[in-house]
Amino acid sequence: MTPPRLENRLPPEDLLERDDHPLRELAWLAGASLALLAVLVLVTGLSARWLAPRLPFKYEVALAERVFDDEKAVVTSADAAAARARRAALQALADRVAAVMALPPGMPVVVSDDPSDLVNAYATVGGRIHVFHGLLRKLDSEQALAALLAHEIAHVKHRHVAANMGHGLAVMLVLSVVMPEGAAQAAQGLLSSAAQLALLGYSRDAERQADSEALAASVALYGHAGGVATLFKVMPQAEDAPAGTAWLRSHPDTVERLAALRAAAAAKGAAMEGAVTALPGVLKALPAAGAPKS
Amino acid sequence: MNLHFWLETFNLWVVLVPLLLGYGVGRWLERRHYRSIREREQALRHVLALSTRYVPEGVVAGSAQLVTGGVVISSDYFKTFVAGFRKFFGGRFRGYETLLERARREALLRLKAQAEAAGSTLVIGVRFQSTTIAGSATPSVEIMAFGTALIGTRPPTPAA
Repeated sequence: MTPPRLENRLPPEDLLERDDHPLRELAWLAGASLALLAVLVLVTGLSARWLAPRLPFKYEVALAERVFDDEKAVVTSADAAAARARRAALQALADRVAAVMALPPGMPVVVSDDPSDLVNAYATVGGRIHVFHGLLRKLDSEQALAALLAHEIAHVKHRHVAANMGHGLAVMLVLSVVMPEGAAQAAQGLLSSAAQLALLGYSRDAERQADSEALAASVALYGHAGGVATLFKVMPQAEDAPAGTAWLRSHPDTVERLAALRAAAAAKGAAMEGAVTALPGVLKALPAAGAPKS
Repeated sequence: MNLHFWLETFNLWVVLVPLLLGYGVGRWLERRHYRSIREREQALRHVLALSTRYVPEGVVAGSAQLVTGGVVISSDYFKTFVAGFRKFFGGRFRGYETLLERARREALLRLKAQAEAAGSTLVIGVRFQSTTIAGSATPSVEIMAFGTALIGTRPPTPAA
């Protein structure tokens, strides 16, 4: 019997040359991960956008109380009295506007002003509405201010604020799971400055809905749409608005809004102009622009 | 490209630069290692390594000696980065396959070199053992081959 032949054979070729290019592998994996993440962010965000407006409004109010009600009082007492009077005047008008807007029960609207020079206003969680002095200076009639408040109250009424905030928080949550450090900080910052969130802007549909509510409220209160038209003309155009304000990105442009307003007013049989009431004195006597408040 | 831009995107570069470096250097080293492995495999062809536990039939040995060949091999940043994705998606990970193939071949070569230095051309009972020696951040692994080198065999080079 012959002994078996013993041998070691050399490997045919190296694995390195035999296989897929590692960069292609990375591209596939990274691409698939990003696609997965995008789908996850989209689905979670839209689910939250759907869910948030269905949560009871009282949770929003509780959140707003935690976030906003520790604001520092105004420095000097003379300023404090003026600020109180300003708020009272704004609140009184907002209450009149809200009364014709058929808000669901348990949805209070609280208006406050902000000494910033921005030509803007926004609604945020818990029915809080902030009007910047920059905008107050440009509004010359009670009708225009009422139209503005009606527009913002409509965002509260239709829970646009909750939908936006839910969307934003859900996306942050997903991102914080994937990239723990940076996104968690971002989410925390978002919660602590919930007011800023409202500046992210609503969808165009939400804006149109708010515009049409503003028209309805104006007509109900004053019998004409003049205030809304003034408001649209005052709101900054894309060119002269400060960068980063929500209006220029999310609001339909002025010409389009005015045209839509004219059509809607005509459909309602409401006049585009009418009697104008001057703003109450406390809302005209604003402190010097940019004066620090807190 | 002002300073602000670099600070803003700092987190990106912290990942991207080591990634490119890991890819470039890692691939260059891997190619070079493969080349060297092939050369030495050719040079050590006359030393046989078998996994059999017994002296093969027809071979008579004068003496025997334990020979070992160990190698520690480390992943690079690029491979580890891609491996992170593999944790999600599963599948064959080619980066680690080449890594471990090189380690096994290198370990066997060192074993054969030791055997040759001891005057042997036949190592039997060859086994491999591996040990993880670093954390999961950038994994390293030790591969060790060991076997029994037969010295003074007749016929001196069995077959081959």
